[in-house]
Amino acid sequence: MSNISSIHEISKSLSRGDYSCIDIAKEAISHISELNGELNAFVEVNEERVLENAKYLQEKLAAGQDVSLLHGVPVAVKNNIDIQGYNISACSKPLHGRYAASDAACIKKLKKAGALIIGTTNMHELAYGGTGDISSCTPAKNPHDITRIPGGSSSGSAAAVASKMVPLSLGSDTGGSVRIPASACGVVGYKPSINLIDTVGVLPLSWTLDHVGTIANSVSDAALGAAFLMSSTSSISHQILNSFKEICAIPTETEHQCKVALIEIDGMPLASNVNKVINDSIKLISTSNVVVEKESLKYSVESHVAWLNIMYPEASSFYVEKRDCDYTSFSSPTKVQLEAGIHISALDYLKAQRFRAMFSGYFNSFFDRYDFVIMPTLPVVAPKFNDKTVTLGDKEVTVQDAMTFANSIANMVGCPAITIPVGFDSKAMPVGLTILGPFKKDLSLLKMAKEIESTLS
Amino acid sequence: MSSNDKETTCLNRGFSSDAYTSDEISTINNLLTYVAEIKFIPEDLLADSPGVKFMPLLMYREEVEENV
Repeated sequence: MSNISSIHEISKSLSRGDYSCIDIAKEAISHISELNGELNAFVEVNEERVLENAKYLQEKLAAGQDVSLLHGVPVAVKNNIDIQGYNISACSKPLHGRYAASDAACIKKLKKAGALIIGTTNMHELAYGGTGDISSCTPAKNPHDITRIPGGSSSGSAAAVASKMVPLSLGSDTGGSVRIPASACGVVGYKPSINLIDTVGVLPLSWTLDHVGTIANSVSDAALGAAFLMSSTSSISHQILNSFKEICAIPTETEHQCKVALIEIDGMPLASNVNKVINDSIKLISTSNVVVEKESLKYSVESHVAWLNIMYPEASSFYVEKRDCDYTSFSSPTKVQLEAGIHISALDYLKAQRFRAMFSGYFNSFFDRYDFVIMPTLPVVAPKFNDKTVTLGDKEVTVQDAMTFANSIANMVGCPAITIPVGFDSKAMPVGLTILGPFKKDLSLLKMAKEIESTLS
Repeated sequence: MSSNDKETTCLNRGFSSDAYTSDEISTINNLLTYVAEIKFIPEDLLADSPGVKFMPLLMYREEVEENV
């Protein structure tokens, strides 16, 4: 079997008996062995353990037990999500040697669904950056061009899916950390509404902004993976699983007219190559049933400042107090952010949270007038490893700010967001488009994403 | 950044200069200057009952309990 990039294909071949869970596991391990030396997407793959689990899953399948669509599907997990017995260090030197005593809540669900955990993936240290170029495990590379960053912080999770090592990976997302690398690597990244996936057992960066999300090669696979990670009693999980065939199918024309706001963000213009791809895709998306109107977003700079005023102290509160880690051996960029977080006052933190409440209300008011909001995921294609800044219009912007400026909005608001690849620039680097929907309207968002994915494919 | 500037910045910001290089101190200073922009957001833009409104975590309590 050569195609292990689709959950749907794996599930079909397992149910037909064309392949066993062990065949699939060996295929994934073989792809990883072949590609990981160059891409460094995975930081740990325990072959013996994977094959042992695959054997157990195959026995269940052979016994005719009722199994889920994720049964036997290889899944990669970001190295900040606890898997019992794995070295979970968030790719940070002070945390090396930290072995997870138990599974994170989402890993318990993944195992219950019969997924085959293949290993853990590289990431930006502590998930504290959107570039992916800071990692004590040697940074992962972009499969489209290994001289470029994969984006972060879930860098290895995106690179593993984009290079077809696995069909699904898990990431965490505090300011775009699932969507940024997914866009930079040309795959789908889905961050569900806040709290739909429990973050217990995920090394925190920022308690009130952290989410868990999925990365896959299609909207339907990202949706399916996420549905199994949600609470088994969650109505959203049931909605997605019950409508899964609908999400997989090529959508028929929508009966009602759908209104979409294309958000232009002040202070973060697009690079011309990205602008061209986005404009071309908007033309294709705009039909008699999908009306796209331009809107400008107010308070984008204030939102970014408030996001930092929340994330910095919350991260410092967790890591600086951890007496068992050697604080001085964090990388320089992480250390300075942790130091900065100590010096933000409670007054400023609370002001940021109060702003967040106002801003959430303002942003949600778009959904009174529009069904969805769309925006380019990144203003640039993946920069080169040595680039510290990018030029946007007449502005010089740090790569970190370029990655997170727009994406942190969905974390501030808590609304569901998904990035899908919409094309390539002249150097064959992928460009992504983000679609945002109202809180807990994840199913509608996924259907819309599927419709756009089908239109552009 | 000169060593005098380094000492002054650390003193003003309230952290030890020992653990950081001049570049790192300069970066910390720049980060803190940027995030201090929060002070200029006018009061009338802010939510007045943050305990109820500000955290989606609190707003969506039902989902949190369900997932525990």
